[in-house]
Amino acid sequence: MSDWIRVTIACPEAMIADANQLASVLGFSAADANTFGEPVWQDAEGNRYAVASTLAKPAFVTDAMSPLLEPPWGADMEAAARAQEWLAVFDPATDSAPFANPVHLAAVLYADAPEALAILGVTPVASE
Amino acid sequence: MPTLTYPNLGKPVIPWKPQDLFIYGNDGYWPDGENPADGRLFQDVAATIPGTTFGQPVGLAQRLAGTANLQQATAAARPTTAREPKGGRRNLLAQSLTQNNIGHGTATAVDDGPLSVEYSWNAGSTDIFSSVGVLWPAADVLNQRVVLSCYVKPGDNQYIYISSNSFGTQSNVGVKGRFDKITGAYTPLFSQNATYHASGIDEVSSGVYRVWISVTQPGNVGTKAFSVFCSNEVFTSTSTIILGTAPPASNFRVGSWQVERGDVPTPYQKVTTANDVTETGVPDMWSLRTDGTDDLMASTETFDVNKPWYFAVCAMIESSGGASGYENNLFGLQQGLINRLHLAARSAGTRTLQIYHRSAGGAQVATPLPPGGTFDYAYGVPFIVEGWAAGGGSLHCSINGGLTRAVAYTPGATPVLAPLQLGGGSGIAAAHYYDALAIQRIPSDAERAALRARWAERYLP
Repeated sequence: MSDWIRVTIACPEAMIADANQLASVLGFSAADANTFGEPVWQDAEGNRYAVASTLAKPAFVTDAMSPLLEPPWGADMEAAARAQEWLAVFDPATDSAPFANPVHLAAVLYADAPEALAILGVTPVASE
Repeated sequence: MPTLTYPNLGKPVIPWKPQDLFIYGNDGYWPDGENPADGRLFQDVAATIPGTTFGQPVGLAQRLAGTANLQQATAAARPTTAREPKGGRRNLLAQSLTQNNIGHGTATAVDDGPLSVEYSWNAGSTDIFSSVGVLWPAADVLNQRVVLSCYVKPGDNQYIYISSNSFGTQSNVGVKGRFDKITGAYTPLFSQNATYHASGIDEVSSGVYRVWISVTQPGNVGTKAFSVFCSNEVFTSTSTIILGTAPPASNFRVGSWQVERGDVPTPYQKVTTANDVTETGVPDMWSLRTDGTDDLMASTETFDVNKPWYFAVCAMIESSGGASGYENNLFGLQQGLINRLHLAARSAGTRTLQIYHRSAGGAQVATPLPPGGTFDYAYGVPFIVEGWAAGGGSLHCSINGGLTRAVAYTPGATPVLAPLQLGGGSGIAAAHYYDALAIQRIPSDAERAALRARWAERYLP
């Protein structure tokens, strides 16, 4: 059996750079600073988000809320700390959706990524 | 008179293999499937953590033949190992083992063949009819004919009540009915904002029954539960809440829940998670499953897109991301513009995907999909697509036909280099990739037919 859980995160457009530093600190390599890409998702109010969905170890929630340690590959720890303050992990079983909002890095633990996006309340921005 | 000899007579026929395509050292990629047991999948890029089972991230997919491996350095963008029965997934439930809806009773996990839950009545719960059930799948099943089936061991109870919604809660949606295990008769009790089509009951072993109803529900299924209850009491109420007055004559057992599209139930598929679906007597097929948000695999090597390439992939689409104008890639040279296959994004209210490719200066070509040129991705049926070109091309996609985002590309004197890419795109489909083949030459018709036959035998229904 796999011991991974799925975490899907909606990152407000203004937080992408900081959130990528947090991803690098919590991740496995410097490449994890590329976790959040373009803000091509939006909520009902039109706020833009970058979305990442990943398998993570069950300790992710604890680790993400713990004091951050700079990884061997380096990271902007001040940016990572700012992103950590914005991080909010929601439980679809007990919290009320939608969770994406402009002042949080909204994370949900849900096995299926497309359903997690619906729970977050984001949809793709129409391509131009 | 010379003696004629046939040196190969009587020798065994050696099956053709896709790796035979690479005997002259052509660039390309062929993994020969995605089973972790083959030892070519790793959870990290450095190949230090081997993939061993379903539900694991894939950082590196090594080739069996060709010159390129595919990898993903960013952890969040790694696909996941998954397995399903050959022919694809029919059971749409998020899981088929444990109840996630129960009223006025207690559910206990049991291991009794196809039965995984035992329902016991909570003493003192005398007000309403109760039941045990599983939530409807979140997959798009609205306005489609759906079959709900499960195995039931009613014990001392004569009647098996079945419902597309839970019994004891307020509802304005659902179909409810009662089976008599002795006569096999089905008595409809209630139908509102839903349509009943058919039903059936079969005794599959001593005292164990498979019961099913087929229904169409126009909406409001996401929070509803396909539910079962057993009793000796005959309820005739047609209200939205069916009230009971007596507890079951005995505990009863339920399991092997299945919700599928169609008219009649098919053999049960066990769904542990979305990454682990199995069916007794049917071989597993393994895949890399992209999550529909950011997953893709790419080669570190880049290849000349001006040279002839051939791509083929066996995949299954779960959902396609992106609105109008988004590109959902399957497999090909990233930005290489040679026969890169795209999925047309899904528009609201439609469930049809089409795949196109376009050569430089040529018209868009719809790649035939079984059956009939389009397919309904929601059915979870694997398909094979292929494309090839002698050089140059441009590809993009849009909603349901029409490559409105086509980008002109003319082969030039300077080679354009691009990595191979599996998945990705601006929309990014949630998809299973069973096998993929890219080679920098155009195979013969016989070679391509042999590849399709090999994959069809392995993966298609």
